[in-house]
Amino acid sequence: MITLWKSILCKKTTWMLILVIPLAIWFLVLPTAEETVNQVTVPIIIVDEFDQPLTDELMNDIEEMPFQIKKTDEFDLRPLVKGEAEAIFVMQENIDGRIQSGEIDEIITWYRNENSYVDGLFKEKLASAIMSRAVRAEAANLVETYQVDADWDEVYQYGTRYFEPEPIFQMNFETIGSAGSTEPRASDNTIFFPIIWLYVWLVIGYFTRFLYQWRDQGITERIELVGRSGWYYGSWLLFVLLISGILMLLPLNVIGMLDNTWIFLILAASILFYLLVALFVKKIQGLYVIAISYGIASFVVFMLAAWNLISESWMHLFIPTWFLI
Amino acid sequence: MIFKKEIGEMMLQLTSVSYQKKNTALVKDISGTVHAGDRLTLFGPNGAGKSTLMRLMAGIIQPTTGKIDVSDGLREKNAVGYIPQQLALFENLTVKEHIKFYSKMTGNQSIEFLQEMIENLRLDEMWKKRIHELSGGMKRKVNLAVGLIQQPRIVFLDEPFVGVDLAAKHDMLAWLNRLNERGVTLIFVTHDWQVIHELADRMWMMEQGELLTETTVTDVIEGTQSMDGLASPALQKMISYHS
Repeated sequence: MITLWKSILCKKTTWMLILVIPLAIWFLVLPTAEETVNQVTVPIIIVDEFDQPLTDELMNDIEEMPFQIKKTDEFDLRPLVKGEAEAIFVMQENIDGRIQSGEIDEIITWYRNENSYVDGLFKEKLASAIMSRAVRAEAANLVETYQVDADWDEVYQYGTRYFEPEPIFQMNFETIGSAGSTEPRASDNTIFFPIIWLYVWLVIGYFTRFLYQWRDQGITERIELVGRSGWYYGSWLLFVLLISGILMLLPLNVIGMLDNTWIFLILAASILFYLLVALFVKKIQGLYVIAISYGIASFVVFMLAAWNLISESWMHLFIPTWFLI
Repeated sequence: MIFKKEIGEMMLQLTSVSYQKKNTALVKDISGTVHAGDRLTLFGPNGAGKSTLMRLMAGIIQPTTGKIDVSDGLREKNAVGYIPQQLALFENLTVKEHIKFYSKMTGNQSIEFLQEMIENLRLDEMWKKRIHELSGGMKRKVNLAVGLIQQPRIVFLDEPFVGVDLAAKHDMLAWLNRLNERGVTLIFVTHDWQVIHELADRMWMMEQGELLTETTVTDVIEGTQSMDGLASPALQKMISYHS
């Protein structure tokens, strides 16, 4: 068994595929991807039909990465529906006057859809900016209407009305349906699965080439003649299972996707698929055509299924879609 | 050691054997007998069906029609040795690793036989070299050795001497003849008259998938066997070139 494995591991290409390329992706592509993720902007729309100066002031206070704030005076929910905006905040009339008088409840309406993720952060920043103004206004009001008969405890308790029993700041809230299905879409990490699978698929294909090469050379015939074909195919299967298992499970574990019980079946089915092709398709060109076509088709079908664009039973003919079951 | 069998006992009996692949008949209605200890060569031009017939006799492929009866001895494990035309070797493994690997695969633990073979084929001179470091002739020697590790009763050799220099050829021929003296049957395909002369007693003349005639090497060399009317001009030329 070791000899058979050694004959595969002696090839430089093998090490390129199972070690060098995965490590290169790990150390080069991953940091770049993380940086890209960090640079992702969160589009936010603020609607102020009355073009109030306070809106600009609030925007200046908040405008920082990752928020990309766009101000408009026309209320339109379509950007939210299309996914062009993470959330829409609508300012009510006379917002400045209401803050000064301490009437800060429901001065803003917050629209979001079920796919909005980080708009909550913006809402907190907006609330913080408004609160700082509201508290200062309240302090000014207190000083202006100074009550000589109020003791220290009374004034101290007065401030808690902004915090209890309700949260410090509330706004109207509405959820808007997106253009696609109302089912929750696959998590952002899901995209990594078909990419990892596709790479492992190609690596298994590379190992299957050895079966063809050995058959063409007469090695397979020789081993079959002495009645050891079971051992021969078993050794190959075990080797490929071990290597491809490491290549697939390690990154999936890192990105926290190893809890899917179908992964082991997906791996085993992928290897068996290749073994069957090797047994029944005699020419290596046939292997290339089948492996590349099936690999690409599986990737596409997986993505369509992950985005809920298809949900048919036939899609499970493509092995990676089992991950979505 | 090698199983010693009385020469003359039937090992293979071919009865109207034909083989067809994708509507092309590669072997047509061949009948014949191979006896224990025979030294038989399948002779004919390229495309005559020699290699296919040999694969049929070795049991690697099955005839489309007809039947091949084999003696009980050939049904035993490791009874058949096959040395294919291609080098059935792992390029990145050493000669030593090949011998060890196939010894384990075939279950042959006869150290005496392995040592004798290594000495006769001079494999010890290249013992730790990887296959891709060897010359074509050396590779052929290893290819031969690997096919004989299991101490077979019958050996099928498909063009085993291609690219082999004279010294290496001498070693290989001597070793094969030594095995034959112990009762091992040799069936081979070659275009090399020196090999035929030194390794064969009987010849099956083949052309276009048919067995034209069966003769002896001596008859062909001495011109006793006339090919007139039996063989095409190409085959006659191949024979007359030597004789």
